[in-house]
Amino acid sequence: MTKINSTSPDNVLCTVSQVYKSYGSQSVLNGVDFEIHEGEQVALMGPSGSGKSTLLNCLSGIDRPDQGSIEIGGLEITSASAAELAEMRRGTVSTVFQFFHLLPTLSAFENIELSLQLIGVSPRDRRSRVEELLEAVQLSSHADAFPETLSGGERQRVAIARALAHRPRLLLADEPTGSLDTQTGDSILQLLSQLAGQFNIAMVLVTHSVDAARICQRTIHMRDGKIG
Amino acid sequence: MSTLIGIQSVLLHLKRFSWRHVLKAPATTCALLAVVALGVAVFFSVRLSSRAAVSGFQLFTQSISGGSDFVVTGPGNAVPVDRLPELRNVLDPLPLHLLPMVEGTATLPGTGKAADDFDAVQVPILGIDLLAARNLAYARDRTQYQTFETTTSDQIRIGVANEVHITELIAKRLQVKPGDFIDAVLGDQLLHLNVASVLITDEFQAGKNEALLVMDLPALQSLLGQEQHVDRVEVVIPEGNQTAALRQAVTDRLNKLNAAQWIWSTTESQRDSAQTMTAAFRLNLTILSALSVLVGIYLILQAMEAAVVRRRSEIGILLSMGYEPKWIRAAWLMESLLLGITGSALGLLLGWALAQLAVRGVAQTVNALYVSTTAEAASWNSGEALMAFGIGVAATVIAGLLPARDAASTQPIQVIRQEGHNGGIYLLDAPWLGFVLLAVGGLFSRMPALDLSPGVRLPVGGYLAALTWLIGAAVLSANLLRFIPGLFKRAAIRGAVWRVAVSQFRQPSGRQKLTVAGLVVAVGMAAGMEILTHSFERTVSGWIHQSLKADLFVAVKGIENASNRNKISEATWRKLIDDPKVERAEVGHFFPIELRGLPTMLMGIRSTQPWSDEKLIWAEKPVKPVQLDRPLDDGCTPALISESFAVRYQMGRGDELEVPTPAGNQSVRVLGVYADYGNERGALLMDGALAARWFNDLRAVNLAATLRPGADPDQVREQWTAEHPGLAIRTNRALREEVLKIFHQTFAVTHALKIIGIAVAFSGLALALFSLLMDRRQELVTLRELGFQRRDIMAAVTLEGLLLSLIGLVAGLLLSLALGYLLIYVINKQSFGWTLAYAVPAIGLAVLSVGVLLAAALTSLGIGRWAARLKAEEHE
Amino acid sequence: MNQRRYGLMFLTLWLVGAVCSDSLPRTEAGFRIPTTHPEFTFPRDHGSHPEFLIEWWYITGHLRNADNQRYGFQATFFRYAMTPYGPETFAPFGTNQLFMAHMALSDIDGNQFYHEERLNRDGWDAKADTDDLDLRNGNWTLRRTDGETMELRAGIRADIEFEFQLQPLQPKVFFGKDSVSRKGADPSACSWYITFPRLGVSGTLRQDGKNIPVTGEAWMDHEISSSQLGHEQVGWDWLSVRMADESELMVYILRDVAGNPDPHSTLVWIDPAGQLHAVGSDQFEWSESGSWTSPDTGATYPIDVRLKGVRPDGSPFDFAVKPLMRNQELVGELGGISYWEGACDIYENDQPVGEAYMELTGYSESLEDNL
Repeated sequence: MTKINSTSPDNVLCTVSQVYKSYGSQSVLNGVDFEIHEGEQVALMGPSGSGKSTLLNCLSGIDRPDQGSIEIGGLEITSASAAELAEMRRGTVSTVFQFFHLLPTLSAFENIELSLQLIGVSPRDRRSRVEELLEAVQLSSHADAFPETLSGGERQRVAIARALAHRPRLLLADEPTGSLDTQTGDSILQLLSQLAGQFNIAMVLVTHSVDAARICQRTIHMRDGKIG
Repeated sequence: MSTLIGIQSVLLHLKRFSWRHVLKAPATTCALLAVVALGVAVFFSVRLSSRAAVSGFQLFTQSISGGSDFVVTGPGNAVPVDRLPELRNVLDPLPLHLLPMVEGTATLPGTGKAADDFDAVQVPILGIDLLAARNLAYARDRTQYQTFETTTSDQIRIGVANEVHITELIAKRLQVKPGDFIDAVLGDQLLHLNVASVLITDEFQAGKNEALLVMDLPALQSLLGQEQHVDRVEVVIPEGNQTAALRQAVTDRLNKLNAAQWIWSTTESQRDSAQTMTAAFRLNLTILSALSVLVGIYLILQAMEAAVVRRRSEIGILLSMGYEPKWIRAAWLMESLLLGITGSALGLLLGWALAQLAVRGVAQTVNALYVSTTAEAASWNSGEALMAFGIGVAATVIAGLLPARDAASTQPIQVIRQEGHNGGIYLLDAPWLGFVLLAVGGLFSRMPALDLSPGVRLPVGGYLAALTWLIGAAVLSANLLRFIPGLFKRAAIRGAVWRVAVSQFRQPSGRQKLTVAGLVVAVGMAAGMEILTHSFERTVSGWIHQSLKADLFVAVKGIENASNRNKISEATWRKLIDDPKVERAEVGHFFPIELRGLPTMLMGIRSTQPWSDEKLIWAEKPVKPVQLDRPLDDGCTPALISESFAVRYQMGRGDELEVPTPAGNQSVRVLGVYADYGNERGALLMDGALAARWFNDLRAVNLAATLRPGADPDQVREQWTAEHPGLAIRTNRALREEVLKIFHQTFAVTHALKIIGIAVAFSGLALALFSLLMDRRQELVTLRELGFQRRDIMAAVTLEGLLLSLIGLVAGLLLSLALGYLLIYVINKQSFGWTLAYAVPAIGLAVLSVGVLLAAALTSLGIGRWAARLKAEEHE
Repeated sequence: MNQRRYGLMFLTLWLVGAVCSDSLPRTEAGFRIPTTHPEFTFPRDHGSHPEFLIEWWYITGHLRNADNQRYGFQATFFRYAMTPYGPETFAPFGTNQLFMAHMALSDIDGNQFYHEERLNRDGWDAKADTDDLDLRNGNWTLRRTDGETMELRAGIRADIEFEFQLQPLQPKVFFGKDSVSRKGADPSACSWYITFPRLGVSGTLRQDGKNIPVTGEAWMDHEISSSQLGHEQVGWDWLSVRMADESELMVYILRDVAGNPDPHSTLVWIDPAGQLHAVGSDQFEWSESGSWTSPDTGATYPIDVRLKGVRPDGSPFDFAVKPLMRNQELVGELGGISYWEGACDIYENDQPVGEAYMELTGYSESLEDNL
């Protein structure tokens, strides 16, 4: 237990071993093995269809591998119950998607606040934390804006703030710049890297871009569902 | 902690999501509420109005006596006045109030514009001993008088002819006050009646909505020409601490009466029997309304599913953020519950309003077929409301929860990506099930009717067969969708719009299947009903053609009402048949009788020429020509029975029965069974002169006259009408028209339900298309990127909707042929005993088909327009 | 009282202007007026006299059960003629006669007063035989069984039923000078007044579902007239007493608007042999010593009475009339006439000396218009 709670970079946060996943007759993951340490930022690269997004979804528990083991922060998520997975997503892990996935009925402030509400943070603390995060992603002036009025970059920054709000230990980012122009994308990557470092959050970044991968300490290449 | 967060999250969901969606898309929310409300309203209104239509029955006598405890009458619903003391002696010295009553029907003339006075109003007129009625003040608790009350007591006078007391409703309608005169037709006379008082109706149990005339008993007796008998005696037990014991004592004493001369029942059982009479009819209505509820639930299911679909991505994101599936389910449960409660509450209001409109139609039907009912307004019934409300809320919750459960328990990534979801019911994927259901339905249709209580036969098998066939046809037709691409291959090659539309059916989605199933059920029901009415109409027209051959038909005004008791006096009918212009005439005597505890009627025919049976259509033909006026060798009286009678009493040719009459029990032998579509209670037909002797009543109910060659029926009619203003005299053509009019009244309710069913099915189509296209937003964007213009998208969507509807229509029409068979040969035959000839209404079905396709085109076009404007950005 | 509902005598009588061929005295309307020295034949004259306007059979009595609990009862059958000719043919719903009837029971120990009123037309369910005593009004009947024994069967709503045999213990008497009892200055205001002053009663009272055997004594009037009250008279007080010494006393006071007794008020002593001793209003004194106000009608009845006078043997008497119950008012819901009629005891020197029934009318409304 002490090991898990330690913040030393040598401590393993996430262990993936022999993970298989197929959709119908098409196998997507073919025995994936790797480890991620606390605070470590890893880029996951590979051609389309190499299985990197599937792997990421398995990590976040929103998809389930057919076989193998994934342990995050001491929880074996392949055999975890729906409630345990949900609890993990409220605590240890959070995700940033390519298409932002903001909730259209909530304002920027409320979108971020939602993840704090889910872990029972008091309204006063929520307010200060959300304001802090909005400032960190430079959107303090857009607190009350709804997603449909924000630009793509702004939306992604809200999504990042939402993902970091409850201080997860692992941030999963699935091509967070994939639907943004290069300039905006770069600034988003900078922000991600900076915030992850600042809060000592491990990050798995799925990306096509070598430039993007460069912000990470380590790069894992995937090919045909394997680390290669 | 987790529970607390869960509760907070559910509340948060309601506040931040459910409510925001309401605000964001008020139109969608309103539509959803409207769907729920409509489903509930249809059921509620049908239940309320049929209840009201029947509950109006005979309440007016209740209001005068404050509710009697027993009703005593004799054979033919008559008690000779000289036997009244016998009744008192049997009951002496029990402290009972015995109230003899005479009941008639007064026709208050209408505007007089229509030649036959069709707008005339039928009002029950009650003859009661005005003095004796007042003694009830002591019989009833002093705090709740229900007795005969007038504004000033000196308005009650006895021994005066032509004085009448009226209810407030009549006073209002006719704009009269005490001292005024009103015209009314009673028996065959037009009378000028002095309004003695307006009854204080606010003390009546039945409220202010009763139209009723009251006269002193002997005065009404003499007007009706029945001085020698009253119709019944109501027995009122006074209140007090021995009421219950008295009730038992009365029962014991009444059981001592000679059963051949006296018939008695409790008031409750009387009302029960009225309800029994109409039970089959009300059951039909309830089942129809239940079917409309099924369609309503289907609609709610569609609508709620559409709502969930729009918000599936929201559910996915929340799951990815750590919402637990059970929180999502709980949140949707709450949301569906709120929606169900609001929608159902609105539905109750709407249904109540609809019932006010529907009650007239239903009451008309009940009036034409069964008993006099005075229902004017459907009153609120909490039991019915609760039931409709419960069904509405349950349906909404289930409809909302099922798809939300589905979304909450799917892997979040699939939900987010809109994967692996096509909606619908998995049952529809099994074609074998369809065949099994059709076969099972076939077996059900062979089941005999279930005897609920004497006289009420419930065609359970018929209804079960209808239900299984409906579902079976729905399942099979859902599986027909996959043949569309093959059928329209050529068209698909020719045009891109066709290709896109047709390709949607390559792997039909559950939602498409559900839509087509809904359409099949609606079209099948509507067309089946159409076939029934058409067959009925054809059969009745043929029957009229065969049986109505005379030139003039004479009856007392208002006789089209099933419980009209007015009759033509002997002097009048004798005068008419002796008219030199009359070649031959038949006079009908009519007596209500009770056989084996069930009311039916005895029809006596008196003919000026030897009577012949050529006008009858036979269900069971007599062995040799019938001569009604000669007793049979075995001493029995020869008689014919109607088909309804045969079914009702399970009798046929050759059977012998005992008919109770004031002259004692009479042996009657059935020589044949004839078709009669006029009533559902059945009739026994025999010689008129003999029947009149048995019942000591020479008055007639109708008269048919064939005129000598050269005599002009219209002219004779005018002359007779002038001489006898109380008579309704119709020419052959007018009578045929009127019979058909009554017939149409009988089906008034059916038409309304048909239209509602179709409307609901198309709301379902619209919702289904909407959900389908929501699922395919991305595809629509792609189509536009490929160069599809808006109108192409519109065309493709319209085509898709039309193809869906076409399958629904064709399968529905096929289904309707089978349902028509069921309705005519099983359900109708078992519950009414009428044999009808199956006739397919080509024009009616064509109109229905065109209507369905037109509605489909308009619905799909509307959705297509909306889809063509759907933006890719709405993805989020 | 709700006048709208329970208006007085709501029937408009259709009186045919009678032209009579015989020489008997008649009222303007054609009804016979009682004549002196009538030649009664019985049992015919116990029956109905339809050529007179008004007739009643009126029984009041005291009863005791086996436990000596006390009851009072009243059974009254009235007949009003609507035409001066008797019914020639029977009509099941006739218009020649109206029959009104009152039944009352005072349950002294239970302090309950039951009463019911009934009004019917002549016909199948209400009638009075003209040959013998045989009366019916709905399920209420009074008939002669044999000799001068009578049977009364009646009840009150579903609460009370009774069936009594009435047996004369003293011969019947005929009140009035020359057998005509005068009620006012108007020569037509008079009656034939036939009375059984002491009837032995035995029978069954059914209350609360229990049959209670009872015995006692009763008084019965049969009065026949065509006019009972003069125009100035508003009501009467009437008292019948069966003294413990087997004599009886009957007194009536006819009151005018001012409350003064009419000179035709009378007090009669009946000795055990049936000898009558009548004195006029100047020979006795009737005074109120207490009253009771009805919660139902608001009428105040002087129900505590002091009666003073002189006995036939010349000795003075001073009676206190004490009601056994305060509330013995018959609220008239059909005829509109409310009156007090109840069981009383007679005290002299604080000792009970007789059983009485007292009737007090005209305290709620004037009777003159109604009779």
